[in-house]
This record gives sequence, C-alpha cells and structure tokens, in this order.
Amino acid sequence: MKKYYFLIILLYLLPIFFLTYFPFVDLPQHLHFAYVLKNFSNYAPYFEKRLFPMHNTFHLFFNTFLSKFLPLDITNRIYIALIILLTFFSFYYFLKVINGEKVFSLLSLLIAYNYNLFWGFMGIAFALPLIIFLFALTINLLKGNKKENLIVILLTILFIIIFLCHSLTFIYSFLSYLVILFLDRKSFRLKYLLPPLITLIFFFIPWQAQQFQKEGSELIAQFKENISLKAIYQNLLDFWERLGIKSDNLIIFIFKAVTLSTIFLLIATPNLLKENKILLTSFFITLIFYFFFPGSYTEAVFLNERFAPLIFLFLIAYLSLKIKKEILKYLILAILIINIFDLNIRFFLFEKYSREFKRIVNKLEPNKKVAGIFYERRPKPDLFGYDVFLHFPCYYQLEKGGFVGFSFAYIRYSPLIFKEDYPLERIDEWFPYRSLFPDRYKDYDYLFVTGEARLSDEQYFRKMVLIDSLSFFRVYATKE
Amino acid sequence: MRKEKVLPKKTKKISLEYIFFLIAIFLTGYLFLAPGHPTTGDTWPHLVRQKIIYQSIKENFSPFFTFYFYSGYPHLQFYSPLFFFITGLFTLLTFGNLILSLKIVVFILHILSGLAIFYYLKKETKNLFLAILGALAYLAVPWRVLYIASFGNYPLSLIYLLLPLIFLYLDKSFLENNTKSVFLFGFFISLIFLSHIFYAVYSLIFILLYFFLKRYKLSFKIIFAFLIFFSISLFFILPFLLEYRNYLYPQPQLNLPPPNPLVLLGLKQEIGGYTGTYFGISIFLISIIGIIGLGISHWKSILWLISLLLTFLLPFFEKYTESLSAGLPPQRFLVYLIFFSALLIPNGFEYLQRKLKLPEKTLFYFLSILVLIDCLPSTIRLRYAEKENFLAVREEIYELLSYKKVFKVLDIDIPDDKIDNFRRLCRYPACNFLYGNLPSPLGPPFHQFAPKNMFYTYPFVNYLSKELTDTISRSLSENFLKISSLLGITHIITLPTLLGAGEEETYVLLKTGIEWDDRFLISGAQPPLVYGETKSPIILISNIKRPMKRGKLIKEGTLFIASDWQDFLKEIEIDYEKGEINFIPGLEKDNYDSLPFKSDLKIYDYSLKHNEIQIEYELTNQSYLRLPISYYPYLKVYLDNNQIPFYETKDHFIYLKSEKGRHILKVIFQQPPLRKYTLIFSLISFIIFIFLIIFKK
Repeated sequence: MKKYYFLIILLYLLPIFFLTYFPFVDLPQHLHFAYVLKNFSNYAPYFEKRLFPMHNTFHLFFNTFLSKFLPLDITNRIYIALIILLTFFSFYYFLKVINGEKVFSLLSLLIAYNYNLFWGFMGIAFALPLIIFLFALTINLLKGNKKENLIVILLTILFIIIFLCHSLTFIYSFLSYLVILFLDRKSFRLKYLLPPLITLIFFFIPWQAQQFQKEGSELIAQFKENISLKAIYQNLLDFWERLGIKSDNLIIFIFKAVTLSTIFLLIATPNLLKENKILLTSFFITLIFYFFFPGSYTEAVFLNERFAPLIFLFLIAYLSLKIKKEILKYLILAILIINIFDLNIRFFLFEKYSREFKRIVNKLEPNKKVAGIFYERRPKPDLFGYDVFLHFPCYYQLEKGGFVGFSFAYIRYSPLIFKEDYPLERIDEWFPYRSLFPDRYKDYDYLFVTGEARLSDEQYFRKMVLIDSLSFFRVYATKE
Repeated sequence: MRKEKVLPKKTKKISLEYIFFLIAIFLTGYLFLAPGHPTTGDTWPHLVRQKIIYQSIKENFSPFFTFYFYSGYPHLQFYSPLFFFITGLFTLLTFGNLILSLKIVVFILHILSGLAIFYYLKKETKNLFLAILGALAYLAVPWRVLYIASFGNYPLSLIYLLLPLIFLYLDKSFLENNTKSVFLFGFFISLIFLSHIFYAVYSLIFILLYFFLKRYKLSFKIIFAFLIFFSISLFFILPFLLEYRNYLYPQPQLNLPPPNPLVLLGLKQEIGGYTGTYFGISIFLISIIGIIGLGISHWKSILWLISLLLTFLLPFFEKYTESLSAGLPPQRFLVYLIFFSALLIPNGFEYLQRKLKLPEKTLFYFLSILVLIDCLPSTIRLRYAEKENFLAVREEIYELLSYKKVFKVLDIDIPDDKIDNFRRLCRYPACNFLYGNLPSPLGPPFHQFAPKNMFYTYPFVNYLSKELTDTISRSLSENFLKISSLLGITHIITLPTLLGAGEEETYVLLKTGIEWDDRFLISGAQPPLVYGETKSPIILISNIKRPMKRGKLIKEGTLFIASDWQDFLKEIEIDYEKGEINFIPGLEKDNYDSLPFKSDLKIYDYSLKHNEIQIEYELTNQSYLRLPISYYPYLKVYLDNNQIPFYETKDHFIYLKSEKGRHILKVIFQQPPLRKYTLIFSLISFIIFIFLIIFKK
C-alpha cells in the first residue's frame, strides 16, 4: 500500500479529533443509552434493560464496555474512527481478492462519512464495511484458501457483530452469503453454513421469539408495508443523495459521474458481469434490498435507503476491474483532495455550533430535565442536509446527568425502555412545541431553542428566563 | 441494352439521438408546466402586464396606460412589451386562463430556444452529437430554468431564443453573403430590444465584440440590418430614449451582491435572493475543458470569460458602473455565461474525445446523461403553490367587493411599519387586480417608472399600515382618513390589529372610523382578514388653490419619498361629508387663486377603466377639483365632452377648475403623437419586412 494512502486516511479522520460534537442525527440518543447503561444504578428505577437477545446494540455494548476504561466521549470517537478505517481497509481487501485496481479503494473514503453515519445509524454504519469484509472473506474461502477454519471462525464473528449492528444488515448478509454459496456449489462445504446458522440460532431466533412473546415482531410489521411505484421511482431519483452529504452538489456530481461510468463500462463490457459472479450476486441483492425493501415501519423510516452506500462501493468495484490507466490515479487523488477540503470545511463550520452548545451546557445546573425545541433544525447554510440538532439535548445528559425530553427509550423495540414511572411524558421529537405547549413545558427545567418561535408560542417563552443566547441556540429556564 | 445500376432507395430514418434530444428538451422544460401557481417576486407584475394586454385585445383599448395601478401610470411604455404581447394573445386563446397561457408560452419558448441553439451549433460544428450536447447544456442549467420559472423572469425566455438566432444570422450574413440573413439579423435584434432592454444592450455589446473578434468587416449589410432593427422597434425605442429621463422614478443604489460561486457550484444550497442557484457542475466543467481545448485567446473563451467577469466583478465597481448594471442583480449576466458555455461545450466534447479516445457516440451519451442527471434533479421535483392556498379568504372578499362600488382598494395584509413591504407593494395589488379586477393606489412594482405621486403615496400607505399596528387608540386618526381621501381609497383589506393572545384566544381590535366586515374573522377563516369601506370622497373640492414649496427627496427603506409628506398632511384639512379640502395644494410655480364661493359636492356615479375614468358629479358653485389620478401631461380631461385644461398638484395628482352644475368628467389616456406615429411606422416596417422575407430569393 502506498504511503500517501495513510496521509489521506488521516485527513479523513481529522474531524474525529477536532469536533466537539458530531453532526450525526441519532448519535446523541445512542450515547444517551450508553450513558444510562454505564450509570445504571442511578437510572434503574426508570429504565428496563432488554440487552439480549437484541439487535442494534453494538454501539451500546462497544461504548459501555470501553467506557469502563476510557471516557465515553473517547470510546465514541474510537467507534467512529473504526468505521472510517474499516470502510477503507475492508474495501481495499475486497478489491484485492477480486483482482481490482486497488487505487480505487481510495474512492470508498468519499462515503466514509455516509448517509447512515450522518443519520446516526451507528449500527448500520459499522455493519456496512463489515459486510464488504465478509464478502471478501467469502470469496477467499471459496477460492480454496488454506486457512479455511480461521476464515470460518472469522465469518462467524462477523455475522454476530453484523446482527448486533442491525438485524436488517444480518438478513441481507445471511441471504447474500447463502446465494453466493449456492451459486458456487463446487467449492461448497457444509461447515461454511455454520457462521450464519450459529448467529441465526443463537441470536436472531431468540430475538424474534422474545419479540413475539412481548410486543410483536418488528420484522413482520416491516414486511406488511407496501412498496409503492412512487417509492421505487424515488429510490432511483434520490440514490445519490443517500450516499453522503445531501446539500453538496459537488460530491453528488462525483457520485453521479462514478455511477454513470460504471453503467457505461458494464454496457460496453458485459463480460465483467459474467466473470465476477460473486460481485454480481452481491450487487444484485443489494439493488433488490435498496429498491424493494418495504418502506417505513414503526419508529424507523425507509430502511432500504441504508443500502445506498453499499451499492456505490460495488459500482467502484466494477470500475476497478477494468480501468487501469495511470492518469486515473491523479484524477482520484484530485477528487479526494477536493473532498477532504470540502468535508473538513463543513465540519469546521459546524464546530462553531457545537462549541456554542457546549458553552451553554456548561452554564447549566446538573441533573435537570431538559428538552429541545427546534423551530429551525438545520443551520444556515445547510452544511449537511440532515437535521443534525434533533437530539442535541442528549449531550446535556452526557455532561450533567439528569433526564432528556425525547429518548429512544420510548420506542418499544429499544434495548433500554422506560418503566411506567419515568418522570417525563413522551413528546413529538420532530415538532416538540406541539407536545410541550401550553402545559407540559413546565415539566422541564431547561429548554434548548433554535429558530424563530411560532407567534402563538411567544407568550410561553415570555414566562421563562432566558439563560443564554448564542448565534444559533437559546436556552430558557422554565422556573425562576 | 444498357443496364442501369439500381441504387437502394434512401429511407429517412429518425436517428435515436433526435428522440433522445426531444425527450431531454421536454424534461428540462418540465418545471414550466408543473402544476400550481407561481407566486414569487417578479411573477406579479408580469401577470399584470399579461392580463392588461389580454384585456386590451379583448376590449380594444391601448395597453400602454392603466388607471388600475399607481393611480394611473404608463404601463408598458418603458418596459419591453414583446413577451406580454405573446402571452396576452395566448390568454385570449385559452379563454382568459393567465397561468395556463403563461406556462404554455414559456414552455414553447424553452423548446424553441433549444432548437435554435441546436440549429446554430449544427451549422457551426456540422456534427449532430456536438450540437445536441451543446443544446442540452443550454437548456438544462438549473439556474436558467429556476430564474425564469420560480423567480418569474419570464421575458428571459425570449432572450434565450433570440441569442442563438442573432449569432446564427450574423454569421450567415457575412459567411454566406445572404441578404435574407441580413434582414433576419436585424429583425432578431429588434425583437431582443422588444423583449428586454437590459439584455438587449448587453447582447449588442457581445455581438460587437464577436464581430470584431471574428474580424468581420463593416459593410452596407450592417446598415441594412440596423435599419430593419430600428424601424421595427421604433415605436418602443424612440419614445423610450426621448422620454425615459422625464418619467424615471429615482432609484436608490442598492449595491446588489454578485451571485455566490459556492451556490452556483452547488457547494452551498440556497434558493432565492441574489445569491443565485445551482449552475450545473457538469456544464461548468465541460466548458472549462472546451476552453482548455480551444485556448484562452479563442473568441468563445474570451466572451465566456467576459460574461463571468461581468457577473462577479461589476458589483464591486457599482459606484462607477450604476448605469451599466441599471441597479439590477448581477446574476443576470449569467444568461451570457450560459450561452457561451453552450457554445464551448462542443469543443469540450471534442477535446475529451481526442484525449480519451472513446467512440463519439459513447462519449455523447455519457456526457449528455451526465449533464441531465446533474441538472434535472434541481428543477424536476419543484411544484408551485396552490392558488386556493395563497389567496384563501381573499377570493371570497373579491367576490363580495364585486357587488360594491369600488374606486381603489388598499390591501394592507399584515399591518406593520415597513415602507417597502413586498407583499403590500407588490403581491396584493397584483392579486387584487388579477383575481378581483380591483384597482390600487400601489404597484405592481415597477418602481423605475412609477408616477411621481408615489413620493407621497408610499409614505401615506405606510402611515395607514403603521396606524393599524397601534393598540392604544380605538379609533382611526384624522390623518388616516385624510390619506384615504387624498389617495381615493374606497376600500381597505387588512388583518385586524393584534392586541395579544391568551391560552386559547387571540384578542384583536377593529378601529372605528371604517365600517368593517368581520365575517371571516368571526368564522375563523384563514387568514382572518377584514375589509371595510372608507366612505372617503374620491373628489376633493375647494374654492382656494395655493402653491406649496417643493419638498426634498429622502431615502426610506429601498424607496425615495418626499421629505415633507408629514408637513403636507398637517396643512391639509378635509371635510369628509362635503368632500371639501381647505385648499388645493399646487406646485411651487403655481399661483394663488380664490374663487368667490364655497361649493357643495354631490357625486352621482363613477367608473374606472384602464384608459378612462368617468365621474358624474354636481357642484353648487364654481370650484377647484382635486382628483386622485396621477398627473401625466398627455392625459386628456373632458368636462361634458369638452376638453379642459388640468394641472399638477403638489403631491403630483390632478386638479382642474369646474363650473357649477351637474357634469360628467372624463379623464382619458390617448396615445401621444410620438407613440402613435412611431407605432404606425413600426407596423408598416414589419409588413414590409415580412414581404421582403417571403419574396426575396
């Protein structure tokens, strides 16, 4: 591997070092869970644990475990850094096993900060590079690698982690893996079935059985959803906006150019499809999941969108098989340099808001009840195209303890759920003012507010005490 | 017997590229046909111009003046009228559907502009692929589509059509030595001047630069072309040049910023304002590659760079170049950047083909699709507002007002103290006319040529609005009623004065002094508007007239107003019952005069049309009459069918002397001689031009 690769990776890791808080929508909620679990003795009267068997818990376990030795903030940074590193290295390894041009692995960094990460889907964001690694190991296994047993053990670990990251990524990997094995029957051995089956039997089935006993299956609810033609059309049209920063037409243009290049390449050289059956299988299944996986269900919305980054990686993989020109290296480097600047400047601009928020939080008394009211959910200019402040009040809890107004613990499928005597009623996370006014705001000690209040809400704010007002945030104490 | 070689019969096959081009053209223009009603900025004055043309064709009156706005103003005399002639005519064909005809016209012009540039590039490059790609880029730029469709700069559609045609026929005139092309070149220049004078002037500059960069030699052809241009557009150009300084309403220097390059390149997302919107990275990149391929000294590269410099550098020299930019947003120069980008794109294509050694067809489809998927998402998913949503309760108020005697309606909307409130000055006067056929003392905003009475009308209207925000007084002030009388406002639409809000109630105040109809407020309709009749007299009479000192102009907000408007109000006293004013305020140069007796006034009837105001009244004695009608010397005033002189008041309305008795007063706009004769000349020239084009080989 070239030395400058490391420099590029380091530059992509840079935001992890300098950002106070991350602009990843749901991340504060995941950290809130980790915090509650770490300090469970304080929160035991209010929360019930449902940690096993449970999916979407990898971030929770990782951070809760490591936070015994390191601060939670640091463990979270390690987790995000691992996502970035794994994205590159697993894709590098994947290109190596399919004999692709490895310089293309650098392009995977364009989606290191991807749609899933920006939404704060911490499990899925971690699972996607692992899936690429899993495919690479599978190809290696089917090629007749001598370290067969080691690969099987590794695959088993991967399947388990992928399940813990998210059941959806597990189902996808499980299906893809079985189809790949089925298509390559010559190399098939019975023990190759062990990794997915172990995970299925010891994790997936108990998780489903437990759900059937309690609130019903998430998956069944999921499959009851219809897929409309409009949704499929939307999936096609919005594909490039589901890869990374949504408000950056430059990076979206690069995504489009890469997509189009691959399509033209595959039309010109259809043999590429035939010669790489495993790549084709994985690509095809990903497309099926992306276009046809049922739409919204329960609390989560549009699960299919989360596969978009995976499609992009496969598109690059196809390009890497055919294009070997030297000039390409310079083109890729130019794209990455532009992207590094673009990305870091955006994070740098966002940092101003994070610092402001932290400054406000530092002024507040500990162990209070807080909620956010975001009349304006995105800063101007819209740096990322996501509602990055939606769960920012959780950072108060991480710094000062207490309770947050909206918590994922309200969701019945969560690893931590509220007990009946939790002191705060559920509020609408997207439009909190609808829940909080005219009365329930009095249940809170502090309200974090952004944007211009509705005319009808002004009267309530007049009754509160404005503690601080920075460029984007205001914080009110509800009682004198 | 000699055997003749049998040649295979040539069959005309429609190439796949043409079908692709056709689909792409429709996709790029989709936004123009999107459902709903455009509502932003410039939409309103354009719709008003369109409706007036439509009505003028239908009812046979001159569209060059209307009493419906600004108390009378020279509509379309100082604004290039071609676009509105077309949309007005289409409105007639669609039985009065303004929005449908507007959408159809803009869409057709979009398609025609694509075909025009395609034809031009095909002639230039002799290559189908290059011509289609260039044309696609010309059509797909999101800024172009949004600036027309969303921001309502509709006449630009004509500029995009005419630019390639002008350059095409300029080339043809010189390269093919074809007289018909010379005529057409002149004709298209005249059309561009009739489409938008700002773009026309800059197009002319670019044409001249092109002329010299291509090293064309001056010849008689040019004189011919200019003769045609000048004679066809004479009815607009000549009066404009001779008169515009007299009718110009002073404009403050706004120093509008250039578009933001980050926004144009899509790095920052913003729509609206002066920052621009996405330009299309693909188009920008291929153009740059075109420049790399051609070299910086090529005429295309030079003109592309000049348009770029004009866009970004001119605003920094605004102080010295105000006349160059006419105070208009610098992003307007992007029109030329788009045009020259479209010309450079075929060269970018050729350069890439040379370097990448890809088959021409493959590269064509790759680049075309790249341009489309880069640009289309910015425009294809947009929708306009629903008319029912933004008009809401107003539609019902218009219906109710149609049964009442209305002279002028003032729509305050939300009362505030903002003299240049956009909705009040622009949107609602236009809405009231478009959907209620109601006249207004305000806009549609064309501040550049607003009548001089607006020096007073703007602060007067702001005073009314400000007073409605006041929660202390329960009744309307004396000044409020004075202003209503001075401006001839018979009806007011407004949101009531907001007093406060409780847990579940909102407290509002309806001030006494006007009979408010509060049915929508009580029923909780949205928005909770009220309307009321001011009962103000539309004529004010006095037996005294006296000169008043001329006031200075001051800037307030983005408008120039008279500094003495408050002093003026103080000096005026009005008896609303009698319609009597203490004196007629004349201009500084006017003389004092006093008639022997005071008079009583009785108004029997009045009507307001675009070109005519008629009032039937009775006086008990000879008296001076002040009319809330803008003073323009070319208006004609008839008293019982006898033309009488009229004069200008201090606040730039009209006053006249009337004998006692019952009279019918008519104020009429008739085309002034200069405009009338130039219009006849232009029409004859146009007929001759058509004759020449048809019969000249």
